[in-house]
Amino acid sequence: MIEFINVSKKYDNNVRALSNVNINIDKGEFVFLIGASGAGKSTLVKLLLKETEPTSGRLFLKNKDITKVRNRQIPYIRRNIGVIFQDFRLLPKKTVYENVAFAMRIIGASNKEIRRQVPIILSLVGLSKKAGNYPNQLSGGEQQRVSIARALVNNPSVIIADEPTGNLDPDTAWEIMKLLRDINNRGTTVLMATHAKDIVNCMKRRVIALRGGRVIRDEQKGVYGDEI
Amino acid sequence: MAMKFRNFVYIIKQGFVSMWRNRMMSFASIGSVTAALLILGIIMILILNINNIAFMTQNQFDEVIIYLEDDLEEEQIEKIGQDINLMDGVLSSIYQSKEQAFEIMKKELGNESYLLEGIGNPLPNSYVIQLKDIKFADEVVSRLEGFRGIARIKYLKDVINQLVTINHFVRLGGLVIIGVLILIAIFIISNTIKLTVAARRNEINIMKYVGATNGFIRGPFVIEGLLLGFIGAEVAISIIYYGYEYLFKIINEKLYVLFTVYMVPPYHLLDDIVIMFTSIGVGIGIIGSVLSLRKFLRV
Repeated sequence: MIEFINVSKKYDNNVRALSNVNINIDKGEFVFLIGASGAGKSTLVKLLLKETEPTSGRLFLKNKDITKVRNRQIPYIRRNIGVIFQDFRLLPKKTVYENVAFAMRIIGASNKEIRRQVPIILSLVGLSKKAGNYPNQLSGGEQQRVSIARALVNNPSVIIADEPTGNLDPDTAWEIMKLLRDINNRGTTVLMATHAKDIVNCMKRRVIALRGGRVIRDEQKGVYGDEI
Repeated sequence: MAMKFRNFVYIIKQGFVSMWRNRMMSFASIGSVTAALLILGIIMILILNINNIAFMTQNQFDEVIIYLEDDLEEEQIEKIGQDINLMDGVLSSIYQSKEQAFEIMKKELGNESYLLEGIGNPLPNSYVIQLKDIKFADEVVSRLEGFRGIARIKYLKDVINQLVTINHFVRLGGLVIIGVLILIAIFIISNTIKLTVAARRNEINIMKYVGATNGFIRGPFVIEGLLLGFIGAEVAISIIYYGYEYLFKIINEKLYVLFTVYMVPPYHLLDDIVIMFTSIGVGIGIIGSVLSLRKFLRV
């Protein structure tokens, strides 16, 4: 599903963000990406989203080489990926329903498709009753569910979650994790960058640890570890 | 195709919405486009009218008209005519007696010719001299000045030259002013669009992550710029057209009575003004919005 082959990234200011990274994530995997700030997590995510290009190495998504693509192709690559952010990034003037529908609308879905798909996704994240509410009327956990619904609504093959529990209290964080696990169980690949030690340790999923731009550990059913 | 159309409707709607949200800046943008086009319109109308006057007086351009003193004998008048025809550069000359001139004036006045009733004929006898070429004008005129019995020589070369010079300067100065104003309008529009971009940064960010194409993201802003330019242009068109029509009504007749020249009638200009202003306005709008988006779309 996702493959990094010898990927290095050096920014213009000579900061070496990634060095010879090799990662292979299969379809349906749930992967934690851990590491201190500046370890290279964001760069890795940015490379996948084609916000930046690798300095060397090759990058594959769904068996397609996306190392170098035309700018015009980038939007279509991103449609394979649902992104969830720590700060939710909902549109404050749109209702829950509209926030989710927005993601469908901008890739050109019809009203009919939107009317069919959005309620299904909202019920999946348990927000059917809040469809008409605005983001500021929701709790943090509910807002994150909306952003998950938005990430899911176009049926991406991969969900990338960038510290999705970072702004949430522990109980709510666990609800979100359960939701992500459910989504993963339905076959969607999940890549989650996090600092949440408890969650990583309890979930017992694959853990990829980064330090100084290198993969220092990559193990199935891993734990958070002390090296970070 | 159906999908494209749906996107199109959405994009246009967004353009209107954001224009309304930034009412003040939209107003400023429309105003700047209107101002630039108003100046353009005024200069254009000036140039057209000057050209028109120059063209209409062109016929008199290679003519020299001499008005004779009233107390000349027939032979003296004939002698003057013969002398004129012998001069270098003269193609022909036509004698017009004061009676003929009076008849012509009556005809020109038409229904209002009763105005001439009861007054004596104030017009002089005259010769209309057709020159072989305009370059002989100065020479012929200076020789004519030595003739006896000539009351006045009407000779339009100076006026034409002045018109051409004025035209030249108006055109040059106009181009500079218009250029500067268009740049200012583009600048103001691009700043207006930047405000919208800033207000919707969040939204644009999400659009990018969900996989919206650049065209889709850019669309509403281009529409917004286009609308601003279009509205500005239509405002300018109305002001220029109705303003000029008003002036035309007031001035045209007086101008004719005083100088026997007409202004260019407003309806002759309408098509050109509409096409020209609309395309310039829309062009300014689109350039303004594309400029403001250039940086931020480079992902």
